[in-house]
Amino acid sequence: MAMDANTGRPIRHPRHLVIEQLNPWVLLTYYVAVVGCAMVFIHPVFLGTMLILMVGVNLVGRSGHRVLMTLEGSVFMVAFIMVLNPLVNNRGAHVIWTFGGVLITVEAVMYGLLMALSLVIVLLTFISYNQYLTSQKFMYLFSRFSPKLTLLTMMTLRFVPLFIKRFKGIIQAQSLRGIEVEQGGFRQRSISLVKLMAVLLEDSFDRALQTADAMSARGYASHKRTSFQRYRFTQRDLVWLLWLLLLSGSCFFEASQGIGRLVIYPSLGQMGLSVEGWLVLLEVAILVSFPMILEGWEWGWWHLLKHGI
Amino acid sequence: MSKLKQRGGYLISISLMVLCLVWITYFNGDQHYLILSLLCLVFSMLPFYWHFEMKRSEAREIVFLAVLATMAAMGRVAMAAFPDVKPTSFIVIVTALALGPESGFIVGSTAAIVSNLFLGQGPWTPWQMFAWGMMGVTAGLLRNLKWAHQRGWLATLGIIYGFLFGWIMDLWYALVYVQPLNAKTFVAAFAASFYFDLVHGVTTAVLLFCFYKSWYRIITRYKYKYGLMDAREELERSSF
Repeated sequence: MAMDANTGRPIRHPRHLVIEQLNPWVLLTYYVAVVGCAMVFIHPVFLGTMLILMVGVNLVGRSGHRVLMTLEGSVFMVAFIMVLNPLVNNRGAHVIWTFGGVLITVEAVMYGLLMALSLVIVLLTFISYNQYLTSQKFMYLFSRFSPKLTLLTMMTLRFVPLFIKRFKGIIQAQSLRGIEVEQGGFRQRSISLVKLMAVLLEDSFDRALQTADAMSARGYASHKRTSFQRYRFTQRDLVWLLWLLLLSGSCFFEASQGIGRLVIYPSLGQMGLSVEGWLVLLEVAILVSFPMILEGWEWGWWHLLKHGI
Repeated sequence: MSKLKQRGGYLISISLMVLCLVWITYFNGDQHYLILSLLCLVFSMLPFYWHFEMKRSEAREIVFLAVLATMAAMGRVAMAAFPDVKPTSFIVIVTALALGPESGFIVGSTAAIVSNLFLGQGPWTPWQMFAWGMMGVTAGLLRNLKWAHQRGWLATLGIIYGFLFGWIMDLWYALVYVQPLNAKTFVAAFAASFYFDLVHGVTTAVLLFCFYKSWYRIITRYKYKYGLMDAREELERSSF
């Protein structure tokens, strides 16, 4: 979770990982590449490796409990994918079971399993994404393309905790007048809740439009704006960005040649990997374990220097 | 030149859509549902964002939209204590009916992106932006019709929007993870989410039925009081 809804501040992590200090563009490249790999390499060995590494990445970020929560929350979708694929798909050479004209084939079951695995990897990647690519960095990525939308989104981001605070105040004040949102039947509670939201709306319009006038008075939109950049693009960022681009580029090129993609239809292909396949697997593993490599790199240098001195 | 800059969003979107069609027809692009679906999402939203970005607007208008988007986003973030009352769609529809398609789109998609910044982004974010954005656009297009402001019709509209929203949200995993894509797949996906869509639709319908008038009045009052959006032109056109 990127932000705390009550305070509106980013949730701070006790430790500073290297990946948190990288430029947001490098982070974005990494996540796009990982999600791409999880979608492209449909092969049990590849997906299994990626799953283990992604769990590792989340453990390095100390978000193990979020992994469990996400897995719990996605049970429904995973089951849906695993069940639906064999049901709607009759293609495949090895039939396990037939009933009422529906053929269940090994191929379709395998496909469903692999797809479910791929979905789980994507969801785990997004846990890590939400942890490292905070809302600040997310806004940085877009502020250059569309300053107005970024301003709107930033303001909304600030307003949410502010409005929640005001809303609590309104609820307390109105409860003295007998409008309760915590008592009574469901109908009663909901109606008073939405009524109080209308109060909040009017109150916020008044205050926000005053803010807007203050902005205009200070010259907002009077001429072209410059923008403050919080994150610099350093040499280290460049090195890692090139590293990620080269690795993912070669992975996707190999994938387009059919390496690391299990032949499923019309008949289940060989699970075993060729020498080239193993090499591509190594590449994918290095790509996915990027945050761990960063940590290991820093750790190694630190200890090397300590012993050198 | 400035005209070209104004229309650039449309031109880019249309030309890229044509490229996609060429890809589908001649280069087996129909094998890549995910990429195509994401491209379609981006191209359909780009003209709206482009227009919003290019047009001159005062600080007041941006802040006004930010307040509405916050109310909509709060519907998802803060109402965790009241699990069945999620007024996001209601606020998006009311905004669109009061202020028009563009504001509806901006409020809907901003609410989606901001609420996800609190609740966690995922592969569903662009789909939610699209679904709520389009809810705003379509509701905004209906605003000149008389019946669109009557409670009974609005309630029906709410239920329809609940289901349409749910169906768009089913697409993100049905498109990518289930093969082959046929009518059976979609029916199964829609059936699996039927209960959630129904709850969403009924909530929106009830809210629209009971609270549409008062919220509409508040928003239009502020619009005219502060001369926001196209209020000035509207007033000049109207005769006394």
